This record gives sequence, structure tokens and C-alpha cells, in this order.
Amino acid sequence: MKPDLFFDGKTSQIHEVEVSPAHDMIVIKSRVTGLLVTWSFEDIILNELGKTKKGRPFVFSNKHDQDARLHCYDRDTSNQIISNMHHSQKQEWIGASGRALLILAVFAIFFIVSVYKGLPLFSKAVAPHLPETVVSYISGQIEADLMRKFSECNDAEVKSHVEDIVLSLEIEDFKTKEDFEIVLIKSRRKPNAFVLPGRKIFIFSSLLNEAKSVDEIAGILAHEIGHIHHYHANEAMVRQAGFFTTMQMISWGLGFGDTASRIGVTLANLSFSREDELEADDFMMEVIAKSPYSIKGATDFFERRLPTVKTDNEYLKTAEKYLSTHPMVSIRIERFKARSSKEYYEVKSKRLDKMNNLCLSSPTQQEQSKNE
Amino acid sequence: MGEIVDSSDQAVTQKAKGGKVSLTKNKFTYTGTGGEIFKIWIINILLSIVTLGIYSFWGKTKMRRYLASVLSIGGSRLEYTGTGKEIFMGFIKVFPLFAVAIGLVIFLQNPIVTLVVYAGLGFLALAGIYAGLKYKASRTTWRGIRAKVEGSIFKYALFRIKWLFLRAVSFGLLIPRADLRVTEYVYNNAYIGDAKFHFKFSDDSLKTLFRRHMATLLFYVIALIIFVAGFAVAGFSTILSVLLVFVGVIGMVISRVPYKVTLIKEQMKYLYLVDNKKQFLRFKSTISLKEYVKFQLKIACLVIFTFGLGIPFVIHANMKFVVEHLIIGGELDKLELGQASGPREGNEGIEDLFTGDDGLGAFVG
Repeated sequence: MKPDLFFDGKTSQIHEVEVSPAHDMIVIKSRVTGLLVTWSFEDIILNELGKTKKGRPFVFSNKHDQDARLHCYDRDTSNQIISNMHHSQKQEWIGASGRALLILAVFAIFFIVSVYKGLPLFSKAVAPHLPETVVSYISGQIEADLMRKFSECNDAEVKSHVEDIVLSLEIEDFKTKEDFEIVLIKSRRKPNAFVLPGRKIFIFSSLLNEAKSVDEIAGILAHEIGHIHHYHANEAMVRQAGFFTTMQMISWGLGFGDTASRIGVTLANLSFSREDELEADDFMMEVIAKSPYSIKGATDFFERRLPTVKTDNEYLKTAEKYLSTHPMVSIRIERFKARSSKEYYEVKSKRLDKMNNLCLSSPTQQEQSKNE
Repeated sequence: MGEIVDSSDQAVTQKAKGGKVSLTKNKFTYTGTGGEIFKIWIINILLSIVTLGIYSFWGKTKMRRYLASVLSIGGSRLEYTGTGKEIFMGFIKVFPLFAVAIGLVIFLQNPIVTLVVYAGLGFLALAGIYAGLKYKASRTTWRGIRAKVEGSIFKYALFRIKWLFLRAVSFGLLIPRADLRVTEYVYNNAYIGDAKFHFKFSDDSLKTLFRRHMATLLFYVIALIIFVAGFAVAGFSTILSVLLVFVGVIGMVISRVPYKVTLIKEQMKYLYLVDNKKQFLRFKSTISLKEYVKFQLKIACLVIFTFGLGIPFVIHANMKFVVEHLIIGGELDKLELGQASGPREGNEGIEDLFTGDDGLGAFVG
């Protein structure tokens, strides 16, 4: 077996030594020159977990002379030294590492719970109180980015008609045209509407083109105002900022760069988005019940969006459940139909005026490419 | 010190004249295994995920400790004495600086501020490379003697910027000189204990490297032309097109390998470690172009075909390759090394933020 080696930390000279543990210290004696040094057990630090099977020594140092090193190849002597040391001295010993990992794991669980449960609560509490300047700045940035991809439909008559529908819903805080802004976007994409932080409602022309009744449009508008009412966009902003910062730190630590954080942020937002949609649906149903319109409008709109091929495949259903940003359409329709039958099944206004024809003239080549 | 440099110069002169400097050959011994590295690596990944990245600082240290402990020379093992706590504290200390800088870019949306911040971060990244080197060196010991890299991290960053600029304005013609100058800067600031490394390249070395540089550039351009031609003939023959694109890509990837091999050999050829009794060690790389290409292909396959799970085996292969191809000439046991002067923590003042136990050195390192 290889002899134990001692390095005094002052020169590179190798000392072959014999190590004898005494009652409160170890005596390190050179085989050539005799006594070199004594180390008290309470001063010894175990620098790493040795593995003598590969000929790797246990490495000990002294807290008063951290450059000096004892490379102990003899397992029995090493174990004798270790058994006399306090656990706090065994820096890389499994006990200390285990405890550290336990603390880290507890911290990690606390952190995950804080992020997944605390952050939504925090964002809900903070969202209504976000400074107007911050909200309008971020909203402006998103809108500017959006308008680089789309162009606006400048049809004052249709815009006014949509505004009238909003006013006819008689929602508190939405009593005059100054309380909100309607932006009509030229698009032949899937019918859609959305809101940004602030009070701007964006409507795709395709939604108005394909509407079969004013009740449909009223339902969608009430749903979007539901998002504004509950400050969902503001909440999403706070959540996203929180998630992004957290995930960025984690992915940075893991050395995965930016990608992991972006994936994490998207997935994290999806589940919240579904809850927001259901909350906005509830608001819409309350508003429509008191308005001159019927919930059948919203039901019709969603029924047209049901997938043409239905699947009994459980895997696909599960995939849709977790991968969609919105609740399953069928669930939403069921919720609408569960409302009182009195409010149901009577589309009250079919007058769509010019809305079905909004922005239907052939788009210019540039607009076409933008939309694509 | 002048005498010490002279003694190195004499050896260089002797070699240049065709005289052989007969020295005892020493090699590192590497006793690590791919399996053990994999175990440390996978535990690091899993624990880092569970602890939201926090464990990665300790994991990184564990890997370094293992890799140092399985390397030995002259019968003595290397030891890494850095700790996870140091790196973690470095992260905590420097992170706010980066957060504020990125915050300024995001919220101000001002092109001038963005430019200044990115230039500043680029400068710090260069300084960080050197700070990391200083940190790792100061925590690596052999026979109880610490390694050391001296010099200001900011001066290093400025030096690198100067040579990056010169490389650019010379359209790449100064790349060999820049590479040797940077090597010179780092090696001439490096120590093991009180023994200093010396590196002084010759004109012959520069000429050799320049010739290889131009040849590999030409090879790269030819590969690029083949690659572009692959797209150009796509309308005539799909198989020919794919073949040309494939050959072009492979050509571009391996085109710089001969330059790299020559650079490594030249970097070792003029490197000396001289102790205070003027005993010196010389270094030599025995890498051949064929071996290097074979090695690069092997590690590329290890990473690609294992979807990244082969990374620990790449680390293992890399260690083995370096150890197998590095010869250290000289009487190791006659070397008289004294402990490195100065504290391990590095320099004082503002640089402490970057090079101290808990600064950018730990953060980058």
C-alpha cells in the first residue's frame, strides 16, 4: 500500500509519514526526519470523500494552516481520524452534504409552492394597483408590435356599431364611448378577439365577418370586458414577469441558457389562462342575462368552432386539456347551456348591418403577406 | 528574473540550432472513469433541477474536485480546493449588477443605453474569463503548492479587445499573431507556487502558424464554394446537390482543425516553468492531425447519438486525450517550489468584486 504523504504547504517537498491518532490529536511523523507536526482533532478538516479502492487518498487539512495537506491512503487510520472529528469538520462528508441537500430540497419545495400558488395570488392582488404609466407603456409596446403584423380596419360605421353593442350591455364603467377603445384588425385568420392591459378591445374582422347574429358579437365583447373587469391582462403581465425571472435564474444556473426559461414561462401561463377564460365566461353570462341579448349567441359561436372530427382517443383528449391555452370548447358550451332555459335559445337580434362585410375587399399584397 | 528568462532562451536557442535538450519525460496519469463522471454529472443535473438550479454551484465544484483528484504527476495528485459556497456567493454578489444592466435595456428601450450596456457586459465577459482562470488556478494545488495567475482582469479585457479589433481590421490576417499574443499574456502571468511560467514565441513559430492559417482559410473558402454550389445545382440533381452540401459542411467544420493542432503544438513548444533554482520544465504536445480529427469525430458522435447523455464520456475522453498527448520534460522531483505569494483571494479594490472568493471569478469560474 502507498505510504501516507504530508505536504507542509510551504514547499513542494514530499514527506512520507506515519500517522498515529492519539487521544485528542494526530501525530504526523516523517519516516526520515521524525516528528513533523501534531494536529488537534478539532482543527482537522476532511476535504473530500476518499475512495481508497482507486488509490485515492482521504485528504485532510488543518483550519489553522489550510495549505498543509495530509494524503492518507490507509483506510483504517482515515476512519479513526474521521470518527474523532465533529460532523461540522467533515466538509464534504455525506452527513453534511445530506443535510445541505435536505435544506435545499425543502427550500425548493417552498419555492415551487410560492411560485405556483403565491405568484397567482400576488399578481391578482397587485394587478388592479399597477401604475397607469407602467400599464400603458407595456400595452403600447405590445400594440406597436401587434400593429407591425396586422393593419387596422378604418370603418367608422362598423366601429360605432360595435361600440353601441358594448354600451347596450350596460356594464358599469363601460357607460360611455370614452371608457374603452375598440380596435378592428384586418385578418382572415381564425375569428378572435382579445384585450391588452388597459381598456383596449381588439377584434379580428374575421370574427365580424363570420358572425350570424349580434348576440354572438355581444357575447364575445362581454367575455373580453370580463377580462378587463378582472384585470386578467395586468395579472398575466405580473405573472409572466415573475415566472420569467424565476425560470431565467434556474436555466442560468443549469447552464441551459434562455430556452428552458421560455418553455417554462409558456407552460406556466397556459394553466392560468384557462382559469381566466372561465372567469371571463362567468362574467359574460352574468352580463348577457341582464342585457337585451341571449347566451345562445356565444353558444352558436363556439359550436361552430367545435372540431369537425371528434375523437374518443383519451390520449388526444388529455393532450388537448394540457396543451390548449383555452378551456376545451365542449366544456365551455356545456357551461353556457347549463344556464337557465329562460335566457337560452332565443337569438334576439340578427341585424348585423355592415359587420359581415367589414374589410372584405381584397387586401393589398403587402397586407396579405402581413396576415400570412 | 532576467537570468531565468535567459536560461529559457538558451534552451530555445539550443533547440533552434538543432541541438536536442535531453530531459526526463513525465506524463500526467489519469485514473478517472466515464462511469464515475457520469454518476457525478447525472446527480448534479437531477439535484440542480430539484433545487431549482441552486445545487449547480456545488455540483460544478464536485466535478472539478473529482477531475483534479484523478490527475497525478510525479506520483502526486492534484487537488481542487474551491467550494460551492464560494461560487454561489459570487453569483449572489454579481447577479444584481447584471439584473440592473438588463433592466436598463428592457425598460429604457434607448439604443444608446442598450449599446453602452451590451458593450459593458461584453467587456465584463472578457474580464470574467480571466477572473475565472485566476479563481480556478488559485484553488488548484499540487504537493500542497497553489497555482496562481497574476495580472489585472481589466487589463486582460482591454488587451483582448485590442487584439479582437486588430484581427477584424486586418481581415483575419493577424489571427495567428493575436492567438500567440494572448497565449503569451496568460502564460507569462502564470505560476505554480513561486515558479513562473515563461512563454516567448519565435518568428519561425509565427511563420509556421501563419502558413497553416492561410492554408486552412483557403480550404474553408473551397468548402464554402462547394456548399453554395450544392444549392445552385439543386434544380438539376437532388442527390448531387445533397452530396455537395454535405461535403461542403464537413469541409467547413474540419477546415480549421489543422490550424488548431499547430497552435496547440506551438503553444506548448515555447512554454517553460522555471523554479527559483533555475530548474526548469518544458512542455510538448504530441497531438497529430489524424488523431485530433479522429478524436473530434468521436466526441461529436458521443454527443449527437446519445442526445447529450454522452457528455460525461466526452469529459472523460477529453481528459484522456489531453493527458496522453502532453509531455513534460525535466526533473520533477528536483523542482523546488515554494508556496505562491499573496492571498488566494486575488487583488484588492474594485477587482475584489470580480476576483475575490465571492466575486465574478467564482461566478464565471
